Amino acid sequence: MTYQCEICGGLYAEPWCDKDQRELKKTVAAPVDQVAAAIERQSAGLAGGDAATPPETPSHSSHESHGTDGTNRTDGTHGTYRTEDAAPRRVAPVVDVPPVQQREIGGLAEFRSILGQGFQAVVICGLPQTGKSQIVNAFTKANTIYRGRSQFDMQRATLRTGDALGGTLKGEVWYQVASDKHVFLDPSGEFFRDLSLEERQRLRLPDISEEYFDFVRDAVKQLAGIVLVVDLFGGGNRIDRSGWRPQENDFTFVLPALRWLRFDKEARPPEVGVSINIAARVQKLPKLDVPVLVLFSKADRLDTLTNQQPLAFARRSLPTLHGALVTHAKRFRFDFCHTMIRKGDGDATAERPCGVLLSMEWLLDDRFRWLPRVPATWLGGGK
Amino acid sequence: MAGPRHPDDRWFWPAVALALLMALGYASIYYVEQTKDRSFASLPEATREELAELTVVAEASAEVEREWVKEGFGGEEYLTAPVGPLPCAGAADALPPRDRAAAREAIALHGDGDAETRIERLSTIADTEPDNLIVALVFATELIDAGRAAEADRVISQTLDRTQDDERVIAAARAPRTRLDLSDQNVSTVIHLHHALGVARLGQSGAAPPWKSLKNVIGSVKPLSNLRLIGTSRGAPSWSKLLIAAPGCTATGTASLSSYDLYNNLIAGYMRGGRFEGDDAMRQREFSRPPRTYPSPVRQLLDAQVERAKANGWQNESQLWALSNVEQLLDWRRPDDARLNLNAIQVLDWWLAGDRCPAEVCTPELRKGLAATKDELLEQAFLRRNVAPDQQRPFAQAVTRMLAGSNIPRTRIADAATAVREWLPQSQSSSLADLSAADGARSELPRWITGLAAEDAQPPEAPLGTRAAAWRKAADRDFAAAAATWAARRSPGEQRAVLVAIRQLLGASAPPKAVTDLEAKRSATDRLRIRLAASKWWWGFLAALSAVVMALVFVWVLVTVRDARALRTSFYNVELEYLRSSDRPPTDKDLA
Repeated sequence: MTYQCEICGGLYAEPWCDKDQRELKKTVAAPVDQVAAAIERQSAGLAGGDAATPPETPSHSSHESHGTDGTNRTDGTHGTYRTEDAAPRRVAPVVDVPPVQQREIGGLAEFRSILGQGFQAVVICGLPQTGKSQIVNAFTKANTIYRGRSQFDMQRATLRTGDALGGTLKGEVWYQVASDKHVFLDPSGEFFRDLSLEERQRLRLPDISEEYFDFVRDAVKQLAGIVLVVDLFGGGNRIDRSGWRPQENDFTFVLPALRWLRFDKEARPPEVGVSINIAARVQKLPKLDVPVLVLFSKADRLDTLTNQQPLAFARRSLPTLHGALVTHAKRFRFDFCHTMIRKGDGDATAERPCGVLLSMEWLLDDRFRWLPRVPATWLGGGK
Repeated sequence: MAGPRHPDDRWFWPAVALALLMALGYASIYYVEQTKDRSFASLPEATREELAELTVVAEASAEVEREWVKEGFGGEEYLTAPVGPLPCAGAADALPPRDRAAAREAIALHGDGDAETRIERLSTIADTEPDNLIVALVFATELIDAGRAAEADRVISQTLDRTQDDERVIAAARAPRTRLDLSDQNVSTVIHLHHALGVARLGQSGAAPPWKSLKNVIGSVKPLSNLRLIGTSRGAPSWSKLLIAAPGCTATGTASLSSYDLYNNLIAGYMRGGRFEGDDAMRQREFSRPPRTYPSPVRQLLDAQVERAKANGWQNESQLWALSNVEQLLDWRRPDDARLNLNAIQVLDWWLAGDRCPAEVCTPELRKGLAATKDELLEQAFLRRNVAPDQQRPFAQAVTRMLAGSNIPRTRIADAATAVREWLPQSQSSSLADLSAADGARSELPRWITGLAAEDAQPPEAPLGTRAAAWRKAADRDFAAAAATWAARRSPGEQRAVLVAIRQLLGASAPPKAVTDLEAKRSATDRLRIRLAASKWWWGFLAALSAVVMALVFVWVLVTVRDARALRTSFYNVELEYLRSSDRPPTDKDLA
């Protein structure tokens, strides 16, 4: 059984959140719990000498032998998730991943029909609680206030309160029409969490399957831009540098994955796992040809950090993320933004968001997109 | 735009606009320079001087000018000479005594009362004296003047049927050593009477053919005229007509019947009726002429057409007789008669039209010679313009139409053209003025094209108004032909430069033959190069291409600079500055 913290979104094998120090009651829906269950079943089979044990795959062994922080996690001691009967040094077996695609992704069908009308997608990427939905909402608001281009918020499943905007429901995508040409795709942060190799490794989950990308596959084909939202507070109330690393690592996989989805036309060999396939092929593929915008959210609480040049800040403080952008994107830029303001102990939606409008206009500006553009690395954005 | 602005927008968009303007300006300058460098105006000074002196032969422009007079300027109409003046009182004295009283009475009626009354009384006199030639002449003349041609025809025919006097006079006049003269009263009476009969028959449709009476008088006038012409120079214009005085009158004034009037009506009769057929003896007499060492173009045309007629069963014989008479007239001298000149031109045109004159007959040399003959006749017609008032308008319309197709230097007939314009209706008068102006424009055109005209001079075609554009296009073609002919004698380099300038001048218009002939001497590659170098579209394309490339480079640089700056700019701080400086509404914190 797997438990998920409703506050921080973390997955735990036991009903206790290490981060928020609270008891957990809610169990996790597929794929994590299903995968875990499958692992349990498989592990039980192995313990019983099941002859159907599948061979160890290179991809999995790779993940097992090299953690993102460089530590050896094959013993599973650093992972939160632990199967009851798992042998300490046994590598996690390759399991039949439950058919994720069978699960209906809420809102995806409608989003696809919007794309069918010729809209181009702007994908908002980020882990849960980083403020993705607020950024989209803030752009809509700023567009209305400053540019006289009023647009109403698309109705989302969770209720909007007086102070805060509801996020995208887990396992669903939300979308917001930005203009007559562009539509934001705001997937639930859990989609990105599920893609996180670090998270999967922590949970000792098997390699992802291609169905994991269903939520973004169509959007990537009609892509106008990508927004990576980084929460420098890591979900807490103070700047948490330890929380930056998981987000960097997540984007380190998301960016090549999007690049692979957009450009790789060749079928994956069945014996090669998805993540290995991406790693092996992505360097041969063109770089992402759409602009990538990295927004550091909650900038109102960053104090003097925002006095820095965003590029210099990213290069110095988020070198992994910066390196990923240099590797996978032709055009990118960094900036700060805030869409909420502190109100007592909690946050409330800012009447006048800051840092979203011009950055998003930069992203959506396609007036010279036909012109061959100089990569950002040549303009001094590289290492 | 309200709200925070991209910090680079202040300079970026003006810079883009400036870059586009610069590219556009460069393209314009490039296009103008490239096309100018390949025009006639850029040729060496000496070349331009020579080209400016070229005589432009009007071909394409003449075709355009003919269009101006295509409608409403008459067609193939032959002007007829009117009936001669009435006999004078002295005519009666030469008659036998028994005929004198009636003749005197008839002559005395001239100017007495109205025409109807006179005709009534003349009818009574004619009934009592049915074979009196003077009475018949006076009566028929009155009837013709009153527009009653058929009655006049009947009166004269009945009179001539009753007497053999006219035939005796005609026979005597044709005798080799006749003592008769055109001033002889009997001769005059017969000529006037037959002429009146011819006029009466020309003036009505369905009447008996007019040529018998007309041929009769010509038959007698011709030898008598020859007698008078002895001693004058052949081919020289004669300003004196062979006047045939009315019976009892002296041959003075323009009212007198002239030998040209007789020829004119005979030619008109042949051409209008078109049904005359002679026998072999008549043809032998008419068309057998002594050979000439240097036959005139008209003679050459006649001889060739006679040979063709012999071969094809004498088709168009009537018109052939008309041509024969024209040839005889022109062989003597250029007629001093505007009406006859006009009709002679029309006879020549009839024989030159369509397939009546195949290429083996009408060689370019012959056509050129005939054109020169026609030009002489037309110029004479303009200068003399001695037609009856009632024929002034059709005459003016016909000569205007002919002028459009002629090569007469119109400055030579400028005054005459001004006078003739008065005879045209207002709507047509401008066409004749334009024809005169076009000739001047044609002579000015080479200097204009070569850039040697005065800087403040107007385009030469400007006086043509709405007709200027079409005429100029055609005139350019004529100039191109003249320039190509000139260039054919020059060095290959000069030829090439002139060919490029010609092609540029003509644009998409089809070049004249002289140009294509000159181009044919060059290789296909060179011809293609010439066409490209001359094409304004080509230079326009290159200019546009260079403008696009330049604009792209400029914009690309600007966009790159903006991208580089955007990479280092904190939009957050820009928006924050804006928020701080703007009148923000009360925040929740303020409200709290």
